[in-house]
Amino acid sequence: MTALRALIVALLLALALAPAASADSITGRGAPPESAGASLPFANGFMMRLAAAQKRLNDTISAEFRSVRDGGSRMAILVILGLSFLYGALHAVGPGHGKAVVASYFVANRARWTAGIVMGSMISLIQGVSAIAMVGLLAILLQWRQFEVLNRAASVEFVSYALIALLGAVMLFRALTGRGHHHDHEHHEHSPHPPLPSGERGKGSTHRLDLKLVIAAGLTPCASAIIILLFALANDALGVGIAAVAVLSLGMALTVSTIGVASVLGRHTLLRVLDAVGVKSHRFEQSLAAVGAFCIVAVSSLLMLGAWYRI
Amino acid sequence: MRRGVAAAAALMLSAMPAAAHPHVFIDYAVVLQFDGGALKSVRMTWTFDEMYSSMLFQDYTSHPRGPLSAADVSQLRKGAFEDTADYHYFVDVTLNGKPVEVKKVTDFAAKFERHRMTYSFTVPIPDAPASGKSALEIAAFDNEFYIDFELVDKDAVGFENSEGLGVSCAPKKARKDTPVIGAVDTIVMACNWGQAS
Repeated sequence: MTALRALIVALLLALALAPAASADSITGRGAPPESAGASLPFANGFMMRLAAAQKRLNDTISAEFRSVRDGGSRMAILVILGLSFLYGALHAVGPGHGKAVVASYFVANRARWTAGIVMGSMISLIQGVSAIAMVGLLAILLQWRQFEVLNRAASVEFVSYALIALLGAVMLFRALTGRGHHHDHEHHEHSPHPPLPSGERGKGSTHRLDLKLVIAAGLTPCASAIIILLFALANDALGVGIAAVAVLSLGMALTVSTIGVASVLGRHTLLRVLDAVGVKSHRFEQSLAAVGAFCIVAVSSLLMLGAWYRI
Repeated sequence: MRRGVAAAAALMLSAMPAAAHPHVFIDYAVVLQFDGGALKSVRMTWTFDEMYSSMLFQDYTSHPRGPLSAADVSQLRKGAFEDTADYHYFVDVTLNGKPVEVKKVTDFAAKFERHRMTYSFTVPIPDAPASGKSALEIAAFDNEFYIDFELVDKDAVGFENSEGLGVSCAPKKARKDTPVIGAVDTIVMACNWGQAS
């Protein structure tokens, strides 16, 4: 309940604080940025195939929404839901959706692989709730124009990244100074830390997720979810739209959770290898905590700048 | 430590930035417009996906359905087209290997048919030679992937006043730079015409 209240307060705050959107309807952003960012070799047609698959799904989902409007069958609804799952899973493969935050978080923190699933799913599902809440409030209650709603989503994105950067900075500070409540590694005899409260200690690696971070990353509504909801609204099928976004979020949860689990296992493997070659993994874990936190700060700051020029 | 940094960097890059991934899907087609043996301009046509078409229709027209009026087209041009000038209208074009800078386009038109919004506009090609062999490569491309552009399946290319020039066009794989994820593969329309002089 506390988490739910925190989510509602955070979303309302984000909406209130979000700078007025000036993004263009068609480019979805303001003027182009000055400089280029990092580079990965994607010259293998991967992005092209990924986009083409999403386009086909988008086409079919649109057509099925029309048949729902025209008195449609249950079959149309089933097709919409099934394809929305696939759409979400594929869509989340592209940049964004909190994958970087999840990956970095599990570089920094020891956790079970199930925590990767929990965090990935929570972020994706909260993103879906955020999209539904925004469309409900702005498009239905306040009767905003469609592009105003979509552009406001970009503003909320900015606030979300700013919060993540802030939380990452706190994590980084704690990692560098050795303070903080996230040290859930077994305590060595000469450990400078006081014993942890019993809830956080547990056996081995019961890790408590940073809910603040999860909520901050979940605030960002996915533009695709908003577009689907607006289309559903235009076709008098809001209920189906909400169901589709719920399923879309599950699809995204699959992808983001996969990244989370990969990161947990990656860290685990790395530490095991280090143990095997006789490196003291205790000190190394502190370095990882700093590296992960630094990644969160770096990526969210970059994304924050990206969101800034789009609003 | 170094391995940790490398691993973290790889993870971070694999999940790299921005609200890129496509939210808009556009099918495009081109018509090469010749005059006196020289290429004068290219007419570009964009057809939006249904969801985006619906948003454009609802925000920029004054009626719930039916064909667009001249006032609607003007609203669309001002509200949802002109700012793409910042992005060179998402047109990438090279003539004989040299990039042509697209600053201004003309004759914007829009129509709404079968649930889809279609824009068309003319891209002037200045200084194209009237004789000799020429080669043109043209594509619509958003290097941030907010918009996914694809050539239409059928009739992706057409010609005007091209008699006797022997124009031939075919889609071709090409590599383009993007600010976020580096070089990516895409498809461009590659055309050749004219006689060696």
